[in-house]
Amino acid sequence: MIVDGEFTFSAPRHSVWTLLQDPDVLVKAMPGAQRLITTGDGTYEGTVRIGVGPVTAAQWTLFVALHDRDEPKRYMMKVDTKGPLGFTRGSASVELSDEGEGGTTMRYHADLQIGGKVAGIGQRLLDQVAKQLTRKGLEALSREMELRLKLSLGGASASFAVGTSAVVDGELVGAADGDAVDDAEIQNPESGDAPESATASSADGDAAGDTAAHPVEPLAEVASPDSPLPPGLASDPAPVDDLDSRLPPGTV
Amino acid sequence: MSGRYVGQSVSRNEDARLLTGHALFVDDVRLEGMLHVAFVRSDHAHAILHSVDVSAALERPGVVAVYTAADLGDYWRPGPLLVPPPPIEGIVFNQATQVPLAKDRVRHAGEPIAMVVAESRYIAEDALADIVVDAEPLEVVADLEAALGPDAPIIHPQLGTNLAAHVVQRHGDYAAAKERAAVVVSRRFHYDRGASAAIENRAVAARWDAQAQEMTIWDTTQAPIPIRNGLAAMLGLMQSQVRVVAPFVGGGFGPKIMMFYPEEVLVPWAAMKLGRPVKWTEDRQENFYATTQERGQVHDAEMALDADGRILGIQDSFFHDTGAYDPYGLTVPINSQCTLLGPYDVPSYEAEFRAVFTNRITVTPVRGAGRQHGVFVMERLLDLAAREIGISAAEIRRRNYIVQDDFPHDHKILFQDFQPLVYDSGNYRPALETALELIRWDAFPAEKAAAAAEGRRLGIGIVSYVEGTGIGPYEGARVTVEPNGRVRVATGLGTQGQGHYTAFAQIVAEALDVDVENVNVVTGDTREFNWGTGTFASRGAVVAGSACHAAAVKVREKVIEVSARILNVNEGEIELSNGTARVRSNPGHSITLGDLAMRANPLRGGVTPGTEPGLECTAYFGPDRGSTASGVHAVVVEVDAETAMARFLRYVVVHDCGKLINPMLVEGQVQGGVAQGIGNAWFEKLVYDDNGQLMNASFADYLLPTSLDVPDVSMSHRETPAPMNTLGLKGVGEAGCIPTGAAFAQALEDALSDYDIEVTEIPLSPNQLFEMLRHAPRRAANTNPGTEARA
Amino acid sequence: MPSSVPISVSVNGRAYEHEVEARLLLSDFLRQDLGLTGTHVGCEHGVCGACTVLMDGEPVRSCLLFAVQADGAEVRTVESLAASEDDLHPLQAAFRDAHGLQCGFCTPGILMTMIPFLEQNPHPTEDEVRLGISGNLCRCTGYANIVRAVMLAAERGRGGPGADATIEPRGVPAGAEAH
Repeated sequence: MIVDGEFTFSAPRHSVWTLLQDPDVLVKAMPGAQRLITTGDGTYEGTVRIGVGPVTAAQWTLFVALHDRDEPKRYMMKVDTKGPLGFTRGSASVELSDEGEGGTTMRYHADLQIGGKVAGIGQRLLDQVAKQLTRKGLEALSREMELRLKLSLGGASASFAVGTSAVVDGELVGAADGDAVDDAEIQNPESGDAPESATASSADGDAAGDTAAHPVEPLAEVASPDSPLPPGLASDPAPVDDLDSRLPPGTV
Repeated sequence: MSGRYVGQSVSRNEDARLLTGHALFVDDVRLEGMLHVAFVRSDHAHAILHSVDVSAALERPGVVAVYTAADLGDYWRPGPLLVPPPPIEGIVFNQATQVPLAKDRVRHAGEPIAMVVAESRYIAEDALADIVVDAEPLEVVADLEAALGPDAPIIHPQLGTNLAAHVVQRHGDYAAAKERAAVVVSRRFHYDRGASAAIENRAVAARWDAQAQEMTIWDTTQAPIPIRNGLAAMLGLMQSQVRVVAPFVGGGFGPKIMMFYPEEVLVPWAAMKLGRPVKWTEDRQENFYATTQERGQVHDAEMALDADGRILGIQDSFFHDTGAYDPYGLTVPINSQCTLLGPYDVPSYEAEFRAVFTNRITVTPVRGAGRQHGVFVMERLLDLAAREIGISAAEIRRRNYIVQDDFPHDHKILFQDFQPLVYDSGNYRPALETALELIRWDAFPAEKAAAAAEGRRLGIGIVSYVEGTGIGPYEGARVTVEPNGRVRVATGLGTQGQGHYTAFAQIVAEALDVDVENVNVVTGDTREFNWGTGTFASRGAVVAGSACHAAAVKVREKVIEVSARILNVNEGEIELSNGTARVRSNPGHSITLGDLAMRANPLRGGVTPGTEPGLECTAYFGPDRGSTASGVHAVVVEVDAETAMARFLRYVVVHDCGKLINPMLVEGQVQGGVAQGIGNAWFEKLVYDDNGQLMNASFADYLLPTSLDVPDVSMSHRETPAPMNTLGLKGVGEAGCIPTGAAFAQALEDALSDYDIEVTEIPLSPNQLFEMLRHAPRRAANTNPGTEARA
Repeated sequence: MPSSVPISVSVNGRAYEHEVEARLLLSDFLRQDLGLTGTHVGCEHGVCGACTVLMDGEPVRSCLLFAVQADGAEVRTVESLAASEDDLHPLQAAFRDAHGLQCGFCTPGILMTMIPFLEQNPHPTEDEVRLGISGNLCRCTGYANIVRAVMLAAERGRGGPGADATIEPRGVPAGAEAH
C-alpha cells in the first residue's frame, strides 16, 4: 500500500525538522499512540492502539528506525508494527522544503506491506483509512508544532510533560487530555503510515524519562461513523457529510 | 431399468429433517464437558519461525491447553500424499505435504502455529492475543514464473526448487501439424478460480471414550472412510476403534475432501490427550486461509487448423499454482490438460505443464477441479480461429466434434484416474443443435439489433465441453431387508446436499419393487459401512449408485431364490411386486419381503450348507475407467459499455449425463453449478498481494452471486447411456460450472464487438472490463464474422 | 472474569431467564445456550443471512446481535415453524416439493426471511421474491428453486387453483439413445 502526499506546516524548516523527530510531539499527533520512546540514535519503539473498521482495536507494538538523514532536507525511515491483528512493514521517505514566508512543505511517500487479519478485510478500506489518518495526524502535528512554537516564542512556562492536559484555546491536541479520556479505544490505522511519526533522537533531552513514558489514555468513543467528536477536539468548521468530519482523530 | 422410481423426480426424504432445523451438522454436536479450539495462524506468508511463547495464554482462566509443534512429539509429521502422480513417462514430481502445526517455518498466511483449547471459543480466541510468535519474514513466492527463476526464494529447501511437477503428454506430431496449417492461433490465457465458499465452514469434533477405547469423530468431510483409516493409523488405533461420522454437511464442493487438514489431525489427538471431547469450528475468515481452494493457471496455447477450421493440432504449455503444499498430487492440472481436448477430434496434442509451489494455501479440487482452465483455453482458441477463418462459433465446433461412430475414442494420454483418456460414449452435435435452438441463436441478430435500438448491448456465446466422471476406484453398498419389510441401504459415501439419500433409495426401491419411502439410506458413517473412497469428481451417484444397484440386484436374486423355495415354485415363476414376492400365475400365493427376511433367518432347524442368513447383500462397483459426460452451454449477456456492468440474461445447458436417476436432483445440480460458474466468471476473485496476503477474506469483498445475479437455467437432458455401468449413469455434479467462463468470454466479445477487445482472462470484473474498454480501439460494429455467419 | 448480564427473552414462545456475557452473540446464545441449532452460522459478518431469525417479528442477523440486545424481545427461530417432521409448515412443504434446498445449511435463514416477507406480500411476483431473498446466500441451488418454492407457497396459501400445485421438472428429456 502506498501512502503519499504533501502537507504544509506554518513553521520554519529547521523547527519542523526538529519537532518531527521529537517523540513527545509525535506521540501526541500520532492517532492511537500510547507510548513512544527512543531506544537509540534514530530508533524508536512504542505502542499504538488501532482498529480498522470492523476489526476491533488492539494493541500493536511499533518499531521505527530512521536512516539516511540529511538535515534539514530529508530522511528515510523503516517501520514495523506487530499485533494480534497482523503486521505492517515498510519504509517511508520524508522531504522538507521551504514554503512561502516561514512555512515548510513536507512531501512524504510510504510503501507498506500489510499482513494478517487486518489485511483480509480489504484494501479499499485500508487505503481510505490510511489516507484519512495521515491527514488527521498531520493536522494534529501541525497544531502541536504551532503550539510549541507559540509558547516557546512567548516564553510561557507551560509544560508539555507527560499526561498533563495540553488544552490550549479550548482545543485538545492529540489525546493527552484526561478530560477527553475514557476507557474506550481510539481506532487507528497502522501507525506506520503516519509519516510524521518519524521520530528523532530527542536532542533536547528534556525530561526524557518522563516524556519517554508517555501513556496516552484512549478516548472514550469506540470509533464509528456516528460517534460524536469528543469534547475539545478540533472539528472541521464546515459541516460536511463525509466520514472524516464525523470521527474523532484517529478513528476509522 | 427405468420406470417406477429411476427417472422420476421423487421428493427428497432428507428434506423434512433439514427444513425443521433438526438435521445434525458438525457444529451442532454438543457433548458433555466439550472444549473448544482456536488456532494461532501465521500472519506471514513465508517466514522462519523462531519461537512461540504461549506462557501468557496458559495463565488465562478457562484455557485448558495450548499446543505447539514441539508438544506433538512423534505425532507431528507431514500428511500423506493423497493422490500419487500418474505413471506418465518422464514425469517430475516433488512431494511436499502439510504439517499439523508449523515447526521452524511457515509457508502460507493462515498456516496453523499453535492450538488453544479452552472452555469456550470466546476464551480460546481471547487467548490467541496472548501468544507471541517470533517470526522472521522471508521473501514471498507469488508469481508462478518468477518462482522458477534463479533468484526465487525456495519454499521447501529440501527440494531445492519450487517446481512441484513437470508433466508432458503428447500424441501425434504437433510440429508437423503446424507445418501444414492454414491458420495458427496462439495466445496467453489466465484462468483463475476461487474458494468453494460452502455456506457451512469446516468443523471437527472428537470424543475419546477411554473406557470403551473408542474414538468418535464428527467431521465435515466428503470422505469419512479414508479419514477413519488415516486417523486410526496416526493415533495408533485399530480402524474398528474409530468411528467417523460426516452427518449433514453444508456443501462440499471439493475442499472438504482434502484430507488430514491440520485441524482434522489435531482435534482427535487433543481429545485423547485431554480426556474431554474437543470441537473446532472454522469461522468464515479462517476459511479463506485454512481451507484449500483452487487458483490460477497461465497458459501459452496454440492451435493449428486447416482452411476449413478443422483442428490439426494443439500445443499448450502452462504454469499451475499448487500453493504451499501438494498433497492432492496433480489431479487439478491433469484435469486441465485432459479436459482441454473437449469433445473435439484433435489429431496432435502437445501438452506440458509445470506445477509450482507458492506461498499461498494449498490448491486442491474445487467443483470442476481444473477442467475450467482447459475448457477455457480450447474454447477461446476455437473462437479466435473462427473469427480469423470467418465462420461462426457454432460452426467451428460442429466441424470439429468427434463423430458418433468414433467411440470409444482414445486420446492416448493419461487422465486423473491413471487410466488412458478414453471417451466411452458421446454424441455431441445433437446437443449443440438443441442448445442453439433453446438459446434462440438464429433469431439473435434481430434480437441484438432491436436491443441496440433501445441502447442495450446484448451478446451471445456457445461452448462445448466433455467431463470425465464416475471414476474409480470403487464404492460399495449393503442392502438389507429387515423383518419389518423396510429396506436399509448403507454405503460409505458421504453426502453434502446432492440428494444421495434419495437417489440411492430410488435405485434400490426400483430393483426390489418396494415403495421408495420404505427404503432407508445410511451414509457418511464409518460404523455403517467399512469400505469406500468418497464424494468427488462427479462420481457419487455413478459409483455408489451402481454399487447400490448391484447389491439390490443380489438381494433380489436371493429374494427370488428363497421365496421360490418357500412358495414351492420354480424361481422363474416368482415376480416381485410392491414389497412382496408372489407367484406370477397365482398372485394370491405370496409372501412379504419382511416375512421372507424373517424366514431367511431361522432360529432353529437346518439350512442348506453355504447359505447366508437374511436378505442382505454387499456389492462393490469399481469401473476400470470413468464415463464421459458432456454438454453445451449457451448464454446471452447484457453489457453496459459505460459502466462495464454485465449481467446474464439467458442461460441454456444441454447436457448428457447418461441415465437420470432423479431429474429434479440433476436440474438442481446444474442450476447450482451454473451459479458457481457465474461466480467464477464475473464475481469471485481471490485477491492476493505480492506478499501472499489475501486482501478480500470476507463475503463483503469476496462476492458470491445472489439471487439477482443468476438466471433460471433452461435445461435439456440427453441420455447416451454409459456402457461402464449397468444403469448407464454418468456424473453431473460439476457440469454446471465448467464452461461458464468460456461462454461468458465469447458473449462479452459479441456484445462489445465494436470494441477491439479479446477476453483472455477469467474472472473479469467490472473494473477490469472498464479498463479494457477504455484502452480498446473502436471498430465498425459486427465486423466479427462470428456474429454474422450464424450458420 | 467477564461480568454476566441477566436477560429475559422469549424464544419460540418459551420464556428464558439467563445470565450471559455481554459479548455473547445472539446466534451463539440460541445455538449453544438454548440448544436450538437450527439457526446456522455462515459468516459471522452479516452477509450470508444463514443466521436470520425473527426478533419481534422482524428478520435480523443473529450473528450481528448480542444476546443482551434480545432482552425483553420475542425471538422466533426455524424450530418454531413445524410441529414435527411429519407436520411441516406450508412454506417448508413448498421447499420440499420444489426442491428448494440441497445441503440445507442456508435454508433456515431463508425460511425465516420469507415468513415475514410472505406475510407482508402474500401475492408476490417472481421478481419481488428474487429481491426478497437477495440478502441470503446459497451456494448449492443457484436460487431458481428457492424462488419457485416461495411462489408455490404463496400460490397454495391463496387456497386457489394452485393449492394442490406440484412442481414439474423443467428439463425435457430429449430421449434416451441406444448406444
